[in-house]
Amino acid sequence: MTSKNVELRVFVMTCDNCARTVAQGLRSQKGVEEAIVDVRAGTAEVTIEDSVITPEDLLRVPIFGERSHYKALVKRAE
Amino acid sequence: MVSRQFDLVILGWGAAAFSAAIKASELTSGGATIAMIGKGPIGGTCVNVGCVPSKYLLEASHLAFNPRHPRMPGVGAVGPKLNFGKVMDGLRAYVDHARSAKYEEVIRHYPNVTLIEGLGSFLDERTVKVECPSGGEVSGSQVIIATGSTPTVPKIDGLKEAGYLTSDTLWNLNELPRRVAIIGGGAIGLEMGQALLHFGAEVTVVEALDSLLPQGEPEIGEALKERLEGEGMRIHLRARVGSAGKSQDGKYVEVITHAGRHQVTVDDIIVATGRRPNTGTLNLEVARVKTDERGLIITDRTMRTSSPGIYAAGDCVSKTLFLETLAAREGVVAVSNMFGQEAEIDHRSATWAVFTYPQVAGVGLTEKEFSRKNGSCSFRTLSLANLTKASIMGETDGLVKITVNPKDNKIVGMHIFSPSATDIITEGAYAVRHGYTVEDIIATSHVFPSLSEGVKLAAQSFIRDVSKMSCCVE
Repeated sequence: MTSKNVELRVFVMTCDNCARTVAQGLRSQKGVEEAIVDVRAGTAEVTIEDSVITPEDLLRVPIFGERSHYKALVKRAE
Repeated sequence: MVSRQFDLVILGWGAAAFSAAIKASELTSGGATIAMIGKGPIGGTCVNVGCVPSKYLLEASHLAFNPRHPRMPGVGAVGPKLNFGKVMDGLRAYVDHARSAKYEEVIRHYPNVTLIEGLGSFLDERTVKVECPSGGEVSGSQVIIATGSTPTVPKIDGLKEAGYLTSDTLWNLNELPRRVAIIGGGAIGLEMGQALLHFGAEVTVVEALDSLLPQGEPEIGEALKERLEGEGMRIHLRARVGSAGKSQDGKYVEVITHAGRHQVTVDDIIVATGRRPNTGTLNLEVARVKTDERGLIITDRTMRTSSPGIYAAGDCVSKTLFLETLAAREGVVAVSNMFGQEAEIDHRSATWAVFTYPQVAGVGLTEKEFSRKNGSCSFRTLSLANLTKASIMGETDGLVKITVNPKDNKIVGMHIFSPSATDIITEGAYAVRHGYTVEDIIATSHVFPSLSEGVKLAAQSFIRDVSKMSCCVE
């Protein structure tokens, strides 16, 4: 098992409730170990199990899906 | 040195770049910070030196030509008074207007987009150095390369010294050249050639290949050649220009054909031999972005390059069709994928066009392309002589050709040579994209009499001889 730290740039978050919703949306995904969302910076620090989920897969989780108004880019993955 | 960080860095500010920037802005409600790095007039090739000025020139030229060549009995020929300088003033004013209305004013509504004027080149996979008076480095979480292309000029003895025009510089003309040689009989050469011909110039086209528009159906290339030659254009196929130079009476080109060499004396030489991608100065090696042997950037159908996080779109991408509309779509596809929304470019149903009069337009595979891939095909060609609207207009030179997969009757290609072909071809795009059959076309209502009815008649010709058909048969 290897963990990877991914920084996402998250768009259209306006308040702490948005940050909680995005964090819950990420944490509910298999392979996501932790997600810390910063609404002011518009970022999410996500720790993933990279044999289960890739950084690009994070962009396709329902919280960033076409019907959601939250959108994300991969800023850094290491 | 100033260093700035953005969510998205776009190299280029033409159609693909604008399309990508606007899509990224829409997806993020204007939240994404975007740098657009470009050089030259904003808007790129299409609006400044491509589709927009060429279509303006063609429209003006047809207005000058058609009244001199009426196609109905009882309507006499008249010669409109031509002021070519004013036409060109109008063209340049329209280009300025279109650039302002469709690019400069548009981007002002996106405060998240920063325009940086200068030549960009990669320092690493995420950082671009911009050569401009203020200098600086620009970094992005994601990068799109959309730097477009530039006309190529072949090495011909004496050409540089004689002087020449290209599709970048033709628009600066103020006087109509009396005699013109065009090197290259592709879409750009034929459009510029017919425009100048319609204004009254003597036009000679020198084309290396053995047919016009070989990417399309050969019947159309042949019919277009006949039409242009009928209007007075001299077309040399399987020919090349051996040398060029200045002469007592202007300039000359030495045309080499199977029959030998001869000189053509002209006032201007136009080079229209193709375009090369603007990728040579990007330092793509350090960004690990691979190109093909022509310098075009290799992408997959999601517009991803060989380097993760770097996408490419537009005329700098390795492909066979180089179109403004495709460039814009590729920009959208690139951005969709970087935000996790899976999208692929569909070259199969991309429409292409040549805006001569009559126009040429195509979508999908030609008869030959489908047969080569699948062993056999089924096709029908409808002469516009069988189409009532075309007969009324006196425009019966054209044709509609439909190719279908014989296994399921689904339309795989449509090619049209007709007035308004560029409008009619959209029906073909729907058919190819959605897998419509000839029966679907026949069962769909088409206005009578109309040019678009030619598509329906071409479809009907799969099941009956339309030359012996009443016009009300469904």
